[in-house]
Amino acid sequence: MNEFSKILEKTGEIGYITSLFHSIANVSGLPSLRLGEKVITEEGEIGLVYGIREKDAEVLMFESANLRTGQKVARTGELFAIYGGEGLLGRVVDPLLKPLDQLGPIRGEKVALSIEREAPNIGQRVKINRAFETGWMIVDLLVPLGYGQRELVIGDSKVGKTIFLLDTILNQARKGVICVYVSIGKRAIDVKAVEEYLKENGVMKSSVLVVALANQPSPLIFLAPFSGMAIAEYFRDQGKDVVLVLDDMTTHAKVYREICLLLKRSPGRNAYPGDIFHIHAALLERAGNIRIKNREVSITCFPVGETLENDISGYIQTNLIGMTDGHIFFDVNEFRKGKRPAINSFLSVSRVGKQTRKVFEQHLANWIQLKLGEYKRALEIVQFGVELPKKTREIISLGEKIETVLEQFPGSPRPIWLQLFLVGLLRSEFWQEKPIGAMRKDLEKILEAFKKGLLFDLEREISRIKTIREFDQWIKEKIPVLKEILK
Amino acid sequence: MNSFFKNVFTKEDLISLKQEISEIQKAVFAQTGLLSEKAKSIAKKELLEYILEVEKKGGISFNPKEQFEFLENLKRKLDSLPVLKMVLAFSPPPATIERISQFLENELGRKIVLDLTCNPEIIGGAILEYEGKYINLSLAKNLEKILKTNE
Repeated sequence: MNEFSKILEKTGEIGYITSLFHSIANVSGLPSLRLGEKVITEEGEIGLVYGIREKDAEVLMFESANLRTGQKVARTGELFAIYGGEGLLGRVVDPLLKPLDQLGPIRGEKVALSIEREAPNIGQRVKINRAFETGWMIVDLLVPLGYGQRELVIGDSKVGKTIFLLDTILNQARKGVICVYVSIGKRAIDVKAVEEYLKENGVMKSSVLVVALANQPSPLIFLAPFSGMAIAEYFRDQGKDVVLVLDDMTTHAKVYREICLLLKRSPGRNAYPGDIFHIHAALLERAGNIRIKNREVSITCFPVGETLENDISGYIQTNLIGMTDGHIFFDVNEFRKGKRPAINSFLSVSRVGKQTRKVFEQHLANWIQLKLGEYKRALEIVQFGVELPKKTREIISLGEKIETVLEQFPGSPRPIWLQLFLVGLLRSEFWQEKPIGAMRKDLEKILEAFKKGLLFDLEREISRIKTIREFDQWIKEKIPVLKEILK
Repeated sequence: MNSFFKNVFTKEDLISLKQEISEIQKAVFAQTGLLSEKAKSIAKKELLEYILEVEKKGGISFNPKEQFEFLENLKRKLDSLPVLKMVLAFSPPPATIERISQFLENELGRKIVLDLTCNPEIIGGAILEYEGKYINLSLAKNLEKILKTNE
């Protein structure tokens, strides 16, 4: 007896596919069907009940190769769930958690993971109070994040969003955080690059890649972020912090629009269905910092939004901005000017991350933001070709040096203490007399010393600092030591 | 009033009756006069009697358009009859089919059309499907159960 027959015997209800359109099937029969229930066809394909009408039900089918009208369908009596466990770590799977990496079946105990679980309630939630390091200076200093934050990563395509997220995964996976990367409707070659990056850097063993390729049925692509969240919830419930990347949600919205138009749901703004905000908000609400058995655990979520020519006023983009705790904006104009990372700190926001930083760290961030602001204004004056007063020249020089320090390339995350140390050097005018070229060389030597482990004492010392005065004093004391290193 | 689908027991009977009605529909616009006259050479006894009975009560006019619509309504009525799918291990003779149909009509209080399939693999008994409900009363299932408990 095959699986279909067993389920049919168990539930005692049968239905038939009456019509098919792409991967959406209308199924008659099955009188007790519920919304969100899993159904199975006689060929073993599974589907999710997405709408129930008077005479039939709308079912999203996740495989469409063998579907035909007249095919028998049985209800399972269970709400749709995916089955996974610890064995998912280090694996590349599709949204139904079937392996895609030729490494054989997923091993170990598997549990049912609900794709539409309720978000943690108010009582379970805890204020975000632990600093989250991405390893990228501009973010950690100017758009600080905390564990459990939902931070939108937004910008045009090919401006470095994915590499920023991969570096964040790299940095966090090395700290023992579980990382779930969900690829939504991307090309296979892009996903391969992500997999290889994680493998090369040795963090694949604490990561899970959930992949729905662009050529797969739209219900499967639609399911991907829900599967990713279900996996993240599983590991969080095991007492682990999790980073979840949803790359990207604008594609997800487009796929959901396609499904809803096929289902003949009323189109709203830009033909998106009316519940697109709810779908995304309900999903992201499941992330956060919560307390389980007197221990704080979190899902830090990075949904990605794609823009066109820096336009963040699009429908989905503004929705995503509205439902997250801030956004990191990758500016295509900055990218074209050669700035790396191309993050626009003035247009980026972190609504809860600042509370995770010490007072002197916030003071340093404010100082950088102030100086960068003065620098940008001074640059506008330069455009007129006027002779600049000494003060303006100093502002421009400092601004250039700040940008040089903030410049960072993929694969070189910097710990927060090193970031603070570098800002301290800027504040103490260590490089004031040096040209940019010489400063770059100094920076390279400092980073080299960091890689060799010569600066690790700084970490311990910096952790004791409480005020900006103490910090400035400490930097002054460290300058002779640094000069020795730079010799 | 006699039912025009009195002798419809199986899905095949139903399809055949619908075809009969379609043939009459084709003749409706070819001639003028009463519908019973037009159907005389095409319809079988029960259907013809039914048409005559309705005509007597003034239920069908001379207008071909209305006659066509009347026949269309008959087809719709046939389509709305509930179907019971039944898988048996043998092909039942017409008398058995009639008995099953009568039994169901008496039990459920409504006319049921049987959609019969023959599958010798079920050995005996029947598998029934009605309005989305499924019940396996086959001998094969019972034997499997017995064999499993004895293992």
